[in-house]
Amino acid sequence: MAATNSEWLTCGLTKARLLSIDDILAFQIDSADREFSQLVLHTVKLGGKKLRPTLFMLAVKTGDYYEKDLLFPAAAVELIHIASLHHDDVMDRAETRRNEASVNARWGNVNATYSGNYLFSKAISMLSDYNQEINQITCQYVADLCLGQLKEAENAYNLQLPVDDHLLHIRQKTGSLFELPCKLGAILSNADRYTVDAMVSYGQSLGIAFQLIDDILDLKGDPVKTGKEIGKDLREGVYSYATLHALNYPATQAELRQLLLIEDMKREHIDRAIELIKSSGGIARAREQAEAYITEATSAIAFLSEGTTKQSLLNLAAFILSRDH
Amino acid sequence: MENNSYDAIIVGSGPAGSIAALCITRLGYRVLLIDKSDFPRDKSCGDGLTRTSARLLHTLGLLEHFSAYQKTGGVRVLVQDEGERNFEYPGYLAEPGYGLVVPRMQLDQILHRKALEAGAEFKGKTIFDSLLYNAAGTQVTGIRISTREEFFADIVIAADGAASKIAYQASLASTPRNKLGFGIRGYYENIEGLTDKLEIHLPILDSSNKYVLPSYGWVFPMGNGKANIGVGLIEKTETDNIQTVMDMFVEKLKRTDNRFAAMQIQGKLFGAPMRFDFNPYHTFAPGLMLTGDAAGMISPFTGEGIGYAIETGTLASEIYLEQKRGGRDFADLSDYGRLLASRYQGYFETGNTSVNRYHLVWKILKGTFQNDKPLFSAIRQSAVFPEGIGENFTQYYFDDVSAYINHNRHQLKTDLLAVNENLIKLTRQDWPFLSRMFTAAQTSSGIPFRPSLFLLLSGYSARSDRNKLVRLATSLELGFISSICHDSVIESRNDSERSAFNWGNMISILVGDFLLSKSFEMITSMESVYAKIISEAIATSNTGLILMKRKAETGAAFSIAEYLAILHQKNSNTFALCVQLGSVARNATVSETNALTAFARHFGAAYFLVEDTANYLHRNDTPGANPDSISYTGNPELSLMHLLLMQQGQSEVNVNEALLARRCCGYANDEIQQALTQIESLDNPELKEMLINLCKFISIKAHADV
Repeated sequence: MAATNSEWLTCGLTKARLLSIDDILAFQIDSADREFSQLVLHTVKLGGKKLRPTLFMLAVKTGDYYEKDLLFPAAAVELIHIASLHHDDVMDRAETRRNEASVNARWGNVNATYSGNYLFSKAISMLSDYNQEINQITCQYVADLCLGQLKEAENAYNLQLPVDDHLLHIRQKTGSLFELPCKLGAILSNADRYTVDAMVSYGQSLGIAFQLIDDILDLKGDPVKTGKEIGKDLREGVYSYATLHALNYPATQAELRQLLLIEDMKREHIDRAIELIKSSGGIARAREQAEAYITEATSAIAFLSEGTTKQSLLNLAAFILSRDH
Repeated sequence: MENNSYDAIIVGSGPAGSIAALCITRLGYRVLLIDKSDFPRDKSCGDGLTRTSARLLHTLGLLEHFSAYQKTGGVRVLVQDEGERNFEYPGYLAEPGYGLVVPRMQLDQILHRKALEAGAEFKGKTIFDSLLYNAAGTQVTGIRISTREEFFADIVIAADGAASKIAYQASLASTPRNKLGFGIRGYYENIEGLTDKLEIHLPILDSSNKYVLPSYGWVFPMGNGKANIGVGLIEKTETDNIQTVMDMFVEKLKRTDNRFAAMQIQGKLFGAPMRFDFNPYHTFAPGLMLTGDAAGMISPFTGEGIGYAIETGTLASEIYLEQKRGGRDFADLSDYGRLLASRYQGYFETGNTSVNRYHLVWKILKGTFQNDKPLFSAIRQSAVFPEGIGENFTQYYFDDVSAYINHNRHQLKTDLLAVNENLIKLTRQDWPFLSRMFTAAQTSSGIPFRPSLFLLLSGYSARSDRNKLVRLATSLELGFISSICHDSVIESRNDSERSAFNWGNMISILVGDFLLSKSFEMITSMESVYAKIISEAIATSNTGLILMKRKAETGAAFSIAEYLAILHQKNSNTFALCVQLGSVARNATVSETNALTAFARHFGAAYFLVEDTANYLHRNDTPGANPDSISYTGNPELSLMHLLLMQQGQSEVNVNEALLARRCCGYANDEIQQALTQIESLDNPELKEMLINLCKFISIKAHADV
């Protein structure tokens, strides 16, 4: 699998530099115990899109400073993302990750939890060598991420969840790790304040749009491509934008409510619920909402001078909308 | 006018009102007690008094009047599809060691009579009309009753029940009147095989059998085959009324549980409204305090309320006394709110009025019903159990070491309290049951054995920045509690568990991650050196955890030396971290820091060897333990005991556990000796003495627990 997503990243140098991130990570977390290394490096070695380090490297290019060791914070951000995947996979009982057995499937839930903690701590340790301010910003975003996830769980089965709260939760749980690399990169390259804010706003809107699309795929995606059972979130009481829309839509409200409150939703209940959500126009509204965030993201960086950096950021925004898995 | 003036006016002569009247009258003050009824009168209630309630009655010298009633020894929780568990009152707490079931007709009559005997003036069949205020309208000065008569006092205590007219008039109740919950009960006879446990049945399904209602059912034994049976609905539902829910509950008991097959109702069903909106800061106003049900103090998963009524009646009288003796004007009663906050933080908020929140908590409770990991004990404790049960967590978590600490005691206590306050501030709003775990430590009068203790001890010096130490300690505790949460993750045992949603794992990870992130957020606001130390330490302990688990899974080829090496990584490292942070914070020399860190490493190993061994030996003693339950001590398979047993061959029938346990303690003792060697040349006599004392604590613990 390609280390980066070549379709949208048009900056050759950045692409080349990103290749060394895996080596940095492998070097940082290598251990004498072979099996231990295998376990904690499992997800790292599976590669992946490296969206977040790429955002970081692109953000770096909005300023006027570049040094090779900036790859370290980029690697640390990726490590935090991987750590969160270890934990997410336990919670989602995911059997596979990037077409291979997930850490929890192979070594168990407990080891996946510990290894997530290990990777996260290592990331913070790497950043501690670097710069206190950067470390502090990182931890604030991570705290936001955790709070967002917690709030989402806390509102499980909440049929009255206000849409604005939902948007806040996804901004925290998904937007954080998009916003963070944009902010860190811009700050570390001494970008001016206006540029830092613009990159933050770009990252945030991008992250929210990413999650909105993800949630649409949960309702109508191809299970073969997404690797997820359709409508699983409904049974688990996680109501996304489209669902909340249908819950407030007069024609579907009452029936959907009754379906979602069933103690153990069966397949037919889920299918019927999805039908109702579709007929309320919920999915279309969620898509519009995602498009609006993408527009926000692109207009935030409209002022950047033309070039591969800006083009890549714009491509990425378009790519997020076109995702089908 | 003279005759209409009192020291205190109490509205309502249920348990809260009568107790408040009794306490204030006993102090020699003039009390007017009014009630809408004459006594005796009946009341809808489960009639269950927890052990804490019994203890309060004992303290007030009233328990002797209840000797004829059914005593209870704990709570039995029955959860559909998950089985049942008994939670017994632990034996180590002060007498009396039991709870009671006393019909409210009698309970209220006895307490009411006691208040009158003590000298309270009573007006029965008297309807409260409105509160009276001072000229500025800022402070309650009395009441008007329906006959338009007016009475004045320093203070008005509202004990007028869930639908409290006073709470609503003073805008202190947050539940809209049409959203009040409702409870209903009947007395039944001809029941077989009742035990001495209060029974809580969860969940209650609606009439279509598809939906879980935010509700609970109870069966409280009264002796002689009689029981008080009832249901409580937390909020009105659209489709089911309380009568239907009750009928279904009774019908289901008869149908599914042989004990109830032949039962018959005695008399009629009787119901009353309930309010679950307790907020400690909405329990008082100038000249006014709310008590018991009037303060919304009903536990949303069990309906428990009498204990809170008795306790708040007592507390309100104490606040009254404090104000009166201090010559104060009863305008600022915020002490009452603070007292209730520290006493009850985390008990009520978990369920609260929100039906949506109820569903979440219910899912977690059901999903972790047989799981005794600390996180879930804590959730159960705060959601389901009346105080006094399920305290194993607190006991397990905090050994009192005040006997071993000779210096800085006052400073230590102050700083530990400050750490606690930080922790509570960080969790109170979102996860109140966590703050419950912290307040448990705060209310104990001793010095708890916990990570921040070591950090503070090693961080004190003449010039130490205590504020900084407290922040470091807070970060450390957050990391530590986070690890307790993460340790609550369990493996899937089969395919169906692998695919099934697991609320326990989800909550363990989410709460653990949240606390860890808060820990790092705090530490990274300080100099980078601390983040470096703590992040490396957490990485190391997770390395140790993984290695130990892998080793345990692969079995035999595992020497004791290897075991101890991994133990140092996995656990002792936590102690080393505490000491290292403290030493660095006070700029100790490198050699002193190293010596202390090495000490802590060996000390920590000794502590865990003793702790693990004790847990292994007592692995089946947990209240309610059954073969399927997941031990709160977590990982007996990772203990040295387990390794020694494996080496002997597990199949041996006559394995002498006691002998093996002594061997474990021997290893612990070796570690203690090595720890002491490290600090031989330490040039800090006070610290050295304390550390030596703490080593004694380990030896004594080894003797006591193993």
